[in-house]
Amino acid sequence: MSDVLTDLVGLVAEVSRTRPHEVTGASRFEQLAEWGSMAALRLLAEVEPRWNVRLDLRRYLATETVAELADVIAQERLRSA
Amino acid sequence: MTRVAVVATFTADGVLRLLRSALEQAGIEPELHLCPFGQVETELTAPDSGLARFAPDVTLVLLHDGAFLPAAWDPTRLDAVEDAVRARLESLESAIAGRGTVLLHTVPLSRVEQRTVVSYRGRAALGRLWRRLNSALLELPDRHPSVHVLDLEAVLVDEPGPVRDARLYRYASMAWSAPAERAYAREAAAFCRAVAGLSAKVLVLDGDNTLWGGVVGDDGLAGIELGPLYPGNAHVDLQRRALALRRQGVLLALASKNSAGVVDELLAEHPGMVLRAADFVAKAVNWQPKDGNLRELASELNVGLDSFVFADDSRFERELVREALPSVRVVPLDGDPAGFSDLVLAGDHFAVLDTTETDRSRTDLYRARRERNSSAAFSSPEEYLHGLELVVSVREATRYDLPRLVQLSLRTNQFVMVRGAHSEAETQEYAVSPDRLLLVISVSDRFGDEGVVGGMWVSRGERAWTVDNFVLSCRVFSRGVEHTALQALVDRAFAAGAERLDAAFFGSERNQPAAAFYPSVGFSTREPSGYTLPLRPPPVVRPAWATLIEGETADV
Repeated sequence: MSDVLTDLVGLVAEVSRTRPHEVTGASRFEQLAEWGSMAALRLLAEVEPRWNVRLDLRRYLATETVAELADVIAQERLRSA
Repeated sequence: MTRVAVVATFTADGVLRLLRSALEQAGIEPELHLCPFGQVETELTAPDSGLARFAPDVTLVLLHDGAFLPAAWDPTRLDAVEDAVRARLESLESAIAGRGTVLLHTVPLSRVEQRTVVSYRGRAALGRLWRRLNSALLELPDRHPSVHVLDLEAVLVDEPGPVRDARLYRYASMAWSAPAERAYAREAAAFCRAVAGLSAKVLVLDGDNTLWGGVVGDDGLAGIELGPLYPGNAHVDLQRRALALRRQGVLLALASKNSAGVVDELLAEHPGMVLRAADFVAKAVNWQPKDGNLRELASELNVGLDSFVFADDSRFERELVREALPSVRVVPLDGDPAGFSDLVLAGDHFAVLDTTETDRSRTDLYRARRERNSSAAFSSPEEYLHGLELVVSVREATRYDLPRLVQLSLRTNQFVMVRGAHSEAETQEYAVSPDRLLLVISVSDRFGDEGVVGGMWVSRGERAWTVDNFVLSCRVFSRGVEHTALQALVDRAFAAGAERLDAAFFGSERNQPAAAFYPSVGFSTREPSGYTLPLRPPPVVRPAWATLIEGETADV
């Protein structure tokens, strides 16, 4: 697992109030308990300062799995580095 | 528990979550309610709205620039913009009137709106227009006693980043960025703490390396850092802030590990000292552990330790106090002394809804009280009380008394029959309504004039009068003041032909001293709650040592 993914899994579990071991890179956001647009924005508010990135909201909302989002974050970090 | 409602012109779900944790940190167990967004006026005014059904203790009204500024505003027609802004403000004002305790705030104008005007002259005109809106918001409390306004525009100056995240605004109608939401939640929690009467009352300051730089016992009077140059000026500034707090009713105490003589000399003679001996309600200058000193101070002042803020540069002392007295709020004065003033004020521990005349002289009142307690040259408490020359005055409230009475009912934890019973608006109702009565209690004795120390909120029925609340400052109870004041009410009720006097009581952890009062003067328990006292024959509850003066002023 990449550095980003390890931390991201924890954040997603926290925001979606899921037990940490139930979230993996393959987890699909829409299948998480208590997921919705407000939860997605809560996650965004955690993610951006944590990795010091600013994501395009269209791309962010289009990601379907946790691993996919980890990739988006990693790419954005490289781009802005 | 405090019921807090949020009603906003934008999506405020994020604020709600931050607010919950900020309130819990402030020692408040909140019950929160979020109204559907964009329906501020409807929620506030409709009698069957979710907000009305929730019946909040506090209503937080959250506003954003888009609620005032029309989406298609024309920078060449600022007069039309101003009309629109004013119309919205007027509708808001009529909606908040009489809705209980409400917190509004000044509204920041997001940068994109400002940049939309290209001329400097035009931007200045827009800036003036916007400041007129914010000034008008800040003036609302003058017309509506239970409305308060947070100067959010000023608060945000110190926050990192813009107030608006355009992505969140366009996608979810969230008007505030995460830092702006956090700042608001922090400030609103401090406000709720003030409403709940949980403001701190005492600031305990360390001496060495806090009020002055260096160790006075080692460095000598001439060797400490305290004066116009850095770092001495940072300590001078901390003293100025402490003095400003003292002038607004906060009690200052000094807790310093030193020889008392050295510190007395410093307080009396050092030209750099802003604070002098008379500014401190008490000084614990000794070599005892500070937790014990604080505990003693709390019992002398009759103020709970949860009303104490303790500021010290020494980690050792802070940990000691934190461990031994977990309810004391500890302010760590770490790092550069230039930051000390900010650190002491950062938590907003002393924020209150309003200050009154009494606040200015509170230190003197408490000092006089300590002298009173320590003048032990009497063989019995009775004899001591006779020697006090206690005069209790009971009169009807005027409108000038209202802020002080509301403040007393918020600040008082021990001698209060029903905590948080009446808001300012309700208290005013007691002063003007013909079947209500609002009595003000003032006290003086040979040590000085205590001023207004309590009040009684009374409903007058034909056969029975009811004491809906009875509040007395913890400075004065257990001297017979409560008995004497009650006598005044008993006399009035009897003269008006009432057959009995009922009294409401709601017990909590803190008001045990009040719980004992009614039974101790002959009241019996009443179902389902409270107490009652027959007025035939007229009972005598006044102690022999107090003089009662009655006034009848009622020029509300």
